[in-house]
Amino acid sequence: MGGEQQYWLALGCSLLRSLLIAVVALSIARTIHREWQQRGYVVWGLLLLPMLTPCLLIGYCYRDTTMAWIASPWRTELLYDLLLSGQLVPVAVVLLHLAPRPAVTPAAMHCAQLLNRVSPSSRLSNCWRWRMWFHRSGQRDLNITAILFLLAFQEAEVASLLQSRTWTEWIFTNQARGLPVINTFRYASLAMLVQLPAMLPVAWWISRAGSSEVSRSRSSHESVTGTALQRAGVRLWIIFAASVVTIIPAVQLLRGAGTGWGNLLDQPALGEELGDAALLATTVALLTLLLCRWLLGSRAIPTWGLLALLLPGLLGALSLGLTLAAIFQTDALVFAYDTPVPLVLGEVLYLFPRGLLVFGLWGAGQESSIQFLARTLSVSPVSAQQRSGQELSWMLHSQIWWWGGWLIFFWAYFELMLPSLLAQPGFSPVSLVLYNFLHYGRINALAAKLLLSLLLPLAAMLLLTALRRWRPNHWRSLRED
Amino acid sequence: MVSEDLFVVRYRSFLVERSSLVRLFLPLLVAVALWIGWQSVAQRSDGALVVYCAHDLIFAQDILDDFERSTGIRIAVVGDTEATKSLGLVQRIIRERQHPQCDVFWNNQLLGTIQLADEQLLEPYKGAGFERIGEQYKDSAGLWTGFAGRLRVWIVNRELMEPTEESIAAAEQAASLSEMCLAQPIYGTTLSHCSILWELWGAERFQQWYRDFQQRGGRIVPGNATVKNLVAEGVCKLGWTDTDDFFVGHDAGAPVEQLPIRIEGKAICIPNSVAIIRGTQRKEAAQKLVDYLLSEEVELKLARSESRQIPLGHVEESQLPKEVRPLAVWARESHDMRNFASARKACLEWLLSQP
Repeated sequence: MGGEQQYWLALGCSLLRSLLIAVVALSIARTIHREWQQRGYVVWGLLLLPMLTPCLLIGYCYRDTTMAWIASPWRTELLYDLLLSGQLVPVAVVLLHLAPRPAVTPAAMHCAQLLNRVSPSSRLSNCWRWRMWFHRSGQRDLNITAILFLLAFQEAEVASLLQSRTWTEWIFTNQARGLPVINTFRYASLAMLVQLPAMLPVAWWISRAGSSEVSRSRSSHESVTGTALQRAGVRLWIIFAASVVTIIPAVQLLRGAGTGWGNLLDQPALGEELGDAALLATTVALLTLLLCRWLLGSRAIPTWGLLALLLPGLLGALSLGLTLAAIFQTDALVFAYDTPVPLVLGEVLYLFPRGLLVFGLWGAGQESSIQFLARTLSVSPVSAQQRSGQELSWMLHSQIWWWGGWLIFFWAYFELMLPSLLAQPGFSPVSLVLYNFLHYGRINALAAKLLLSLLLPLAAMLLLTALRRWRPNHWRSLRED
Repeated sequence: MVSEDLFVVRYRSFLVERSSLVRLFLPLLVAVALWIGWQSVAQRSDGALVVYCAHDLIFAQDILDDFERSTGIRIAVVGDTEATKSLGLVQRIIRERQHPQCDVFWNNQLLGTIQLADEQLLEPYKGAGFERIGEQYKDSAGLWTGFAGRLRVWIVNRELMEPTEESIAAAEQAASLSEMCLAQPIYGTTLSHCSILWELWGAERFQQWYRDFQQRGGRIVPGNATVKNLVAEGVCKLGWTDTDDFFVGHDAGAPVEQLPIRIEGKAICIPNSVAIIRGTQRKEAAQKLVDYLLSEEVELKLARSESRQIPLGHVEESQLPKEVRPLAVWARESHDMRNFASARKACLEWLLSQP
């Protein structure tokens, strides 16, 4: 089979796999969401673990396993699909949990069903049925499916480490085979076209959302208890996903971490590497947040304009990085090549589609009447009302940006391809160093450093979130009437 | 009482104003903190010698830090990674040819450096370090110099087969090669190895061997470290790798042994290589670094490191770790890698055309 044919095969596999995983992951997530929305932090933590597990950890653990399966590629495919699903189900659960209440309420649906039963003449037309479905759960589900599809389709690191058949792995391998940059761009553009049908309706919806008069209030979701079988299935899935995606790789890595700690603490560059990663991730997260906030709050962005901003991110990190490197090597822009600009720009463009989809789904750019009232309350001269207003504003509005920002932070923190292509000399975020260790088989040092690089931002996130809720006792007592 | 109430009202007003001020100044504070962070990053490379290093950073960083301490010349390092080995530093230097960023290139093998020399991207230099290294490990014009080599070896799982040349020969002749593995031959030391076979056997014999290897179930895996892992875990009995990968497995307690791969009686020693990039603005500092890397001191450091690299300039044998001494003997009877640069291109082209 020629190279071009292999590309089309890889692209087709990626498309089918991503569609299947997006649909299956959403179905599982909906069941989990119904059963677990009232659970505590421990359960949420177990559920979210796979989502926060770095691809390096997963890929390293199963890389040699898939090498042993080289004669049975279907096993590698099955494992890769399981790992991807394990990571994407919690993403879908989070998106469902924070999605705004649908415009069509359960009461309205019940009335529609009653109408259908009364008499043939009172039945809703198909058009209305579709509209009700769309505004009930269809819009939300389609958007979440688009996000999951995008994440699955663009996945590159685990695919590369497991040697799975994906378009990203094909382009990466053929770069090694001397594929010119212009051809890389061509193949990446084809992959971008495949993603467009998922992005188009979402971009249209987001560009219209600013002018929408529909209330996007956020309130508790209806609780529907499933069958015992469903509840058991949910528990089984959560344990299975956490084990396969996180616990097994972590155990394997932690075996070497004990001996790696001594070496780790002797490395003077450790603080610099972690600081570089945090600096880059913070900058990228803030810029992406600002961009999303501006776009979602603006009523004047046409769909084509939004698509133009989304397209670079759909090229994939490799192609985007090579393109930016070429652009910043031109005479006009070479002055900026040795600065953070190419790298920060690349990461913002790469993560912007995901951020926009996530915040757009959550209705983050729109202010409902309840949000407006909460905001008004938060500036009340009465301190108790002010405190209540601030808490309400946080629950209705600010926490979306807070948690969404942290999600983008983690994506930027562990991003590898763009820093490897665009980072200026002397700038070594920890992801580059981790992959260097992997390349040279420094497993003990890798284990210790990976653990530390994961724990520190998690600790920072938990600490900052806890600080938000802290009030000194004397301040609180003065505020109480 | 009135004054106390007035105090409370004023304090509450202060708190309201303060929280507004915090909301106003917090973004400013964050922006300033980020600005300071990026400024400190910029200062690292400001006036520093830029080194693109394809060697293992755990060892390379120590050596470069020592150089920085002893000379006061600041160094900014760009390392290589698993995910970008194909895009690696050689490609980056080629992409940057119009506006080079790199001053010194420290490669962990030779053929990529020779490619840069062919593309006229290197600056000649023959300093004290150059004079120290043997003829077969350096470019006659001084465009690059090799140092601290490693050997291509058979890695054998001693619990699954005898680590002898006879049993290896027997395994190669077996009907199924599913228990033998080698790394992707399109880059790295495996490509160098295949280039030698291409040159010495001839294209036709090499191609026949490669097809036969695959037809008999031989495994092609992502890298030498994976070969080491598969043999160490017993998935495969034997494979091709480098001495530094072997020692990683050996030090981890895996049941592995190594034997040198010999072609027509000679071993394959792949040196690190160092070169100055054409267009560097810091030539004097670059030359100092090159001489430092080619010094006996550095070669001994690398020999004593976990990777047990083989000194290619003269060192007292008594100073070498005992595992490195036999390797140094094998390295003395190795092929001259300079003879295979032209074969590399043809070999690579053919390999790229294979599934």
